[in-house]
Amino acid sequence: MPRTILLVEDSDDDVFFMTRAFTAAGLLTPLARVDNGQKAIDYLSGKPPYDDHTRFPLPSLILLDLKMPFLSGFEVLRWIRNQSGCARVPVIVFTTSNQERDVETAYELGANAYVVKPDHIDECSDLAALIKRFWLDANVPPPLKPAETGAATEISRTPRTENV
Amino acid sequence: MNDASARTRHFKTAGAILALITVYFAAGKFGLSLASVNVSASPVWPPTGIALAALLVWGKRLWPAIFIGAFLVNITTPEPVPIAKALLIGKSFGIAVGNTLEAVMGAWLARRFAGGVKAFERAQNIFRFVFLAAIPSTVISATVGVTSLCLGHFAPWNAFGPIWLTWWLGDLVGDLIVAPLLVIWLTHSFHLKPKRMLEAAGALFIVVAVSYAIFLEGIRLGAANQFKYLTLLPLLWAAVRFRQHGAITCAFVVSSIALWGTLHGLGPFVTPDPNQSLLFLQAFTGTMTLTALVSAAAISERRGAEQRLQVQDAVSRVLAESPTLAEATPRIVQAFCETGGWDVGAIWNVDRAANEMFCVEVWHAPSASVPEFEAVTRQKRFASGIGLPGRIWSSGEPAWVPDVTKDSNFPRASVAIKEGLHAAFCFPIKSGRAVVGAIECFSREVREPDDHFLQMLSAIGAQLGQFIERKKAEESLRAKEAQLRLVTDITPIMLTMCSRDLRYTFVNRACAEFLGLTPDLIVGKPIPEIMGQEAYEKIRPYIDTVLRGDPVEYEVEVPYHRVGARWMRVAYMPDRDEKGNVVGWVGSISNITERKRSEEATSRSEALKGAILDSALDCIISIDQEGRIIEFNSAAEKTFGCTKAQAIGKAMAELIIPPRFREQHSRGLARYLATGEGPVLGRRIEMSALRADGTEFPVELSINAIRLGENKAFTATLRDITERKKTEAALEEARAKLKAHADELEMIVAERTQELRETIAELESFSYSISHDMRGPLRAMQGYASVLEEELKGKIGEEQWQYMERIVAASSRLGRLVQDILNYSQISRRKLQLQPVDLQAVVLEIIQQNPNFQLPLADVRVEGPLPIVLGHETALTQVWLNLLGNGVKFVYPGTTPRIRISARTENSTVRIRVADNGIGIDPKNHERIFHMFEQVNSATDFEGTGIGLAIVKKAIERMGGKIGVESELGKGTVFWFELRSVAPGQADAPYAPNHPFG
Repeated sequence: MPRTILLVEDSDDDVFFMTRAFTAAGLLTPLARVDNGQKAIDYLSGKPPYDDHTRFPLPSLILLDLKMPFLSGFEVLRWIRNQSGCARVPVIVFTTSNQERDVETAYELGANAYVVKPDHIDECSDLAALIKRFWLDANVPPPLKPAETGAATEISRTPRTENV
Repeated sequence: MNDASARTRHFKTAGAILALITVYFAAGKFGLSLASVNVSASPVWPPTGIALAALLVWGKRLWPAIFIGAFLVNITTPEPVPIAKALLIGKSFGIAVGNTLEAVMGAWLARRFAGGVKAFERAQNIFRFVFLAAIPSTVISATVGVTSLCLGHFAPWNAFGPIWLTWWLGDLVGDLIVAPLLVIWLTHSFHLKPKRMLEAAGALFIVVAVSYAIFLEGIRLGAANQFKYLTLLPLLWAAVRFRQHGAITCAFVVSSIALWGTLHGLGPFVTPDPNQSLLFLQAFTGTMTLTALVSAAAISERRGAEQRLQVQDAVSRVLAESPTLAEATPRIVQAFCETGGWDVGAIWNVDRAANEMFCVEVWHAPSASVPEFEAVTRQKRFASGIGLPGRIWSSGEPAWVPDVTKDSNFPRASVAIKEGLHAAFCFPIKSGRAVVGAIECFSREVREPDDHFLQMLSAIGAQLGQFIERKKAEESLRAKEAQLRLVTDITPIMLTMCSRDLRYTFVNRACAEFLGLTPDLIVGKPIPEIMGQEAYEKIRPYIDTVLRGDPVEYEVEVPYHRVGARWMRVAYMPDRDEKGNVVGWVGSISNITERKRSEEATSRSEALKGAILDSALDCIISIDQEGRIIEFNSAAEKTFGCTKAQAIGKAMAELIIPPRFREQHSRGLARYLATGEGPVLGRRIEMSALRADGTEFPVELSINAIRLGENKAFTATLRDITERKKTEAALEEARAKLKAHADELEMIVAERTQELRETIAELESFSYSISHDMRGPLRAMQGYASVLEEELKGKIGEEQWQYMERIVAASSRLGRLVQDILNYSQISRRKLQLQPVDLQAVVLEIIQQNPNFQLPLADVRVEGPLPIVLGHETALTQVWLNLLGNGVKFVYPGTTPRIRISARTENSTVRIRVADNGIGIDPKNHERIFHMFEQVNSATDFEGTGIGLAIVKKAIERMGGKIGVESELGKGTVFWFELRSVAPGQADAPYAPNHPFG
């Protein structure tokens, strides 16, 4: 399975720039993108329209924006980490906020990394290259299975430990 | 007496009797050979003398000898006419009886009245001997004898008279001459020193010569009759020089020569009648002999008295000179022996414990060495009654032993015999009635007891006794004196005795010590000399008083010249003699300087206390344990409106406590006295008190208990707090109002603060969200612009390219502005949690991350290690970015920016200096540059947002620091900021710097 990045981002501009950056960095596989939290959950659950696993493969990395309508990135993160299948998927919180509070919460909820969105485009490309080289090329992602449940409202309150 | 000695005695007596018979017979025959008037009556009759002497010396037990002798003499007298045997026997018997009577009576009378064998020692006794012994006894003999003769018809009665006279005279002269001769020579020893022997011989020769001349008609002078008295002279000489022995011997010689002469018809006594001649002769010789004997006796007596006087004298002298008995006795012994002519003396003491006498000392005359006797004497110990000293001890009277070798109670007799000691006397040393010792003396001669001497001994004994008594008295006096001195020396009171003439006669130790002298330096000296004239003048009036006879006591300060002025308490008592006259006085003196001083101190402290009490502003009241007022100071007088005099003695409760509290007060007082619990004591209490006029007023008081000897007392300090109460009330009101106001104010302030906080929060969140939200589109703008740049490069014209560039630039600028605003608002907004931050690490990280801060673009160096400060890492990052950014930006064109960073720590503050070589800042702009949106340089020269330094200032201030600038145009700039340092040990590991994207 080729390694994919899932971009959970509501700003099209940011998507544009990141995509361009990743392409320039040599990413061969297309970036998967969802523009809000709920869609992210659906994607990861394999719910339609994301049930086609070839077109919508489970990602080896998720770049998660925080400021999104409907469901915030934190809620998505929380949901992800409570899943049995894809709980371990590496998540980089990718946001404009450099608030300490947000950083704390992100890590608390189980983010693997926290990156503040760069202002300049050149930085974007550097970042993309960096991310690709580390997280996709170097890092060995955990084995993943689609999430069992897909209801956005169902968010386990207590984390379940499961062998993934 | 046992048989052996009795038998010996009988033998001895028998022997003596036989001897005496023989002598008597011989002498009788001789005498009768000279009889003329009657064959049985002779004018020269030695047997009388012999008989008397024998009985005197050896005792009357020899009388049979006399009887037998006389009998034999007369039995064998041839008679001219034959006579019947019976008559002869009868006559002889009668005459024998008469002679025996004469001898026995004579001896008895002589012993009784004339001193026996001592008759010739005293003149008085000689006369007694003659008239009371010799004459009566010879009268008897004559009478009996002649009567016997006449009765037996041996003589006619009419010749009784002449025969009687002859008989009597013959017997008498026999008694006068022969008896003394025998008695003296037999009972008195006669010692002659060699040189006196010559004189004795000479005397004898002269006596003989004179006698020869007179009685044997050696000198034919015709009237030799008249010169017969000359014979007295040599006799007297002999009597004077050789005493009794000399007298009687020479008298005997004279009478013998005279007798012989007369018998041979020579001499002045010859008369035709032979009997008459002999009678004349006898009268003469009797008289002479008597005279000589009397003279001798008189001389002896005188000599004896002299000697005794000498002895007495010597003894007295010894006693006067000897301080103790022990020293006196040997010298007394010596005196006796030397003056009395005794050879050995010994002193004995009584050992009461052992009940024996023991010898203390033995003395002997240099010529008399008796080592063995001495040794024995020293060793001997006698019990009472045994031995010579023992005898004296038990009898208490002096004793004389003529010959110790013949004495029955003389244990040392054997040694005495060996050493040739004979006579001894011993007398007691008495103390009162008790015998404490004895002194004995021995002589080589046999000496008859000398009554005078014994009397003297008694006298000396008494003297010694007195001496002992005196010494004892002296001793006891000394002891008493010592005791007195002990008593007077122990007392700390000074005792003195002075005489009328103002001299000290006695001072005790305390007095001497006080004056700094010793008693012997004071006694006898005048008073002014010892105490000083000034002191004396001061006490003189008192001395005068006591000398008048009145006791006096006084206390005065006496300026002694030796020890200084002292307060003395003195009592004088007059000292009177037995007539009642004042001869001096006794003084008893105490040094009361200390007491006076303490009295003064006490009165001073009393005065002080009074002053303190009266000057106190607070009322001070003291009560005794009954609750009665004992102190009431002037402040109390004013406050309560009654005087001290009125208050003292009254019950405090009645006077100043309002009625309703009185019960409580009494109970409290009682409880304290009983249990010692006083909860109100020692604390400040507020109460109501009562003025004299009946008004009540509030007081603050504090009570303490004090001990006055055995009793308790209480002192209260009170203050009228009426005013204070008012003030307090007013104050309370004001405070309440103030509090109300303050509360109100607080409420308002809280509201406003809340509003403000809300506003600020809103503002901040507003600015944050704006900045934040702006960044999105900004980023998009910049991004697309960049993309366009990339894609259109070379595809569009130069102008369009410029337009593109400008868009990019503008959006960049906007982006920076927004970023700065964001930074600023973040820093303003957040409460910064300060942590130790490693400045060095932060700076270096920033420099490293930024090529702009590195060569060749800029020369940024950190000089010296930067310390760890208390700050916020993000904020500090902002600070550095801005400061370094400015330093690098604001330089003259073409200049390589050079920035030097240094730090200095002082106390707990770190001052960081960031020095650059930039364009500098005009001092008038030093304030402005920190304001927001203020740019002092034109935007064309130096691009900037105008917020950078505002951010820095805010950040530093939020971290509790200070910031400042030192700069002048064209001279570079030094930005400095201060932060709190953190000691290396205190820091936790500082956070690694975090490079914020965006």
